[in-house]
Amino acid sequence: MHWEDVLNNLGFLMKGLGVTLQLAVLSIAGSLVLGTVLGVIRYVKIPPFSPLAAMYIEFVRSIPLILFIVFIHFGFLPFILGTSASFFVSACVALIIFTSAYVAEIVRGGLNSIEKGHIDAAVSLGLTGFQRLAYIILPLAFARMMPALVSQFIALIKDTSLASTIGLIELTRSGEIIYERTYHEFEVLAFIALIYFMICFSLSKLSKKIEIKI
Amino acid sequence: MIRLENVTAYYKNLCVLQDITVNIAKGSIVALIGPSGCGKSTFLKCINGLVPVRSGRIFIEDTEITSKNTDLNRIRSEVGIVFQQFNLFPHLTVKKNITLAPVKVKGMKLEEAEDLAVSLLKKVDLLDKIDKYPEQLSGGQAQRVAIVRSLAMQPKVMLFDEPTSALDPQMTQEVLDTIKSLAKEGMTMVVVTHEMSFAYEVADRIIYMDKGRIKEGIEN
Ligand SMILES: Nc1ncnc2c1ncn2[C@@H]1O[C@H](COP(=O)(O)OP(=O)(O)OP(=O)(O)O)[C@@H](O)[C@H]1O
Ligand SMILES: [Mg+2]
Repeated sequence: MHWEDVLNNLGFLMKGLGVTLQLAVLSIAGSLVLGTVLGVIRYVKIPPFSPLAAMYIEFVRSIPLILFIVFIHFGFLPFILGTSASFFVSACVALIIFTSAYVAEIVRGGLNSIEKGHIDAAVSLGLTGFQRLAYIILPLAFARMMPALVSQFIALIKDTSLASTIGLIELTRSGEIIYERTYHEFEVLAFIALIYFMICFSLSKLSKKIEIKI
Repeated sequence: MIRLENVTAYYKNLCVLQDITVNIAKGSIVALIGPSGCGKSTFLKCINGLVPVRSGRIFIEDTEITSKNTDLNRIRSEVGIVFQQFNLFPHLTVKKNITLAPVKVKGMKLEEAEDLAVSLLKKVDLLDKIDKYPEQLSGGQAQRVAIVRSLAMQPKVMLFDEPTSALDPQMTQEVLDTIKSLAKEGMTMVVVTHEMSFAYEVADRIIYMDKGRIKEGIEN
């Protein structure tokens, strides 16, 4: 066994981990916001926007993430910005677009699951449509959506490793760089897998705590 | 106080209320009875705009709520409705359930709304539940909190849709007592109920509905 490969390169791996975590946090935040907006638009059925949101969701869910990352980095962002974007920005944009489609469907499902009685009660108290969403329907829906959202975000955390394909030096790519030199893949990959596991497992545990509170 | 003129209401193609004309005087208590599915709930929901009417007109005091220009949310804040299933908001404490609408809809100050919540909860003997969540209440307690939630909007009219049919006899009594005490204070009320003895005891008038029509009004 060659665990010294891991030990000697610990600093380098931790730097990769830092990139992975930043990418994950930003993408989770971005896709949560975008996905919620899209899900609400589908729920309230505003004529031109709701079908557009539905098309966006169908389109995004039908294409593999890895193609998104490549296409956004080499095609979409250079076209929009007029210059090439960093690996990090490209990966982040791709993950947000991709995950927001799934979050939107989760949000829509959660909103639709709210009992008619609670909505009737909110309407009959005189709350406006926006107030009903903000104070009653969305908070109730989010409490219910927690488990589905957490699985989606756990998938996202693991998917950040796909950013290595365009050259972003995150956790997985840092590992590759090490074993391309040392040829001891197993130890490095096992160590990286353990780190992904610990991140995802603690997120899952944390969400259970929040669920109980609500 | 509440006047319905030739009101007709549909769910899609299903005619649920047919040519209803009623006048409910200020301070009176009307019990609404009739077989399941005859349109009692729909009747109440029309009065606070939860279900739109197909034709006819509804007035609350002198405001026509079926007119396009009426601010429905303002009317709704003046007409309280209490449902069979309580429908308390499960993610909010009793206090929040009660103060949310007065603060957000009527623009009441939070402290003022909380004082109001305290005094109303005292009346129904539930002050100790103020920081509890709905799931921590019994059915009878939840229904009395739901009544308080409506009263906190200081409505001119209270509508009750089978407020006790999800409750066992002892809890039923608690809720009926609360409604009776409101009657003493002169609140205008329409109560859909299967409790005939209650209807005869409290109501000024009993309206019998069948298949979306009013069959008879019995002066009590
Ligand atoms: N949201 C709805 N969509 C379609 N039909 C409905 C809806 N709500 C009620 N109905 C139908 O309208 C009719 C009247 O319903 P309503 O709830 O007013 O009756 P009810 O007298 O309150 O009955 P119950 O005593 O069972 O509560 C019924 O035939 C019912 O099936
Ligand atoms: Mg009913």
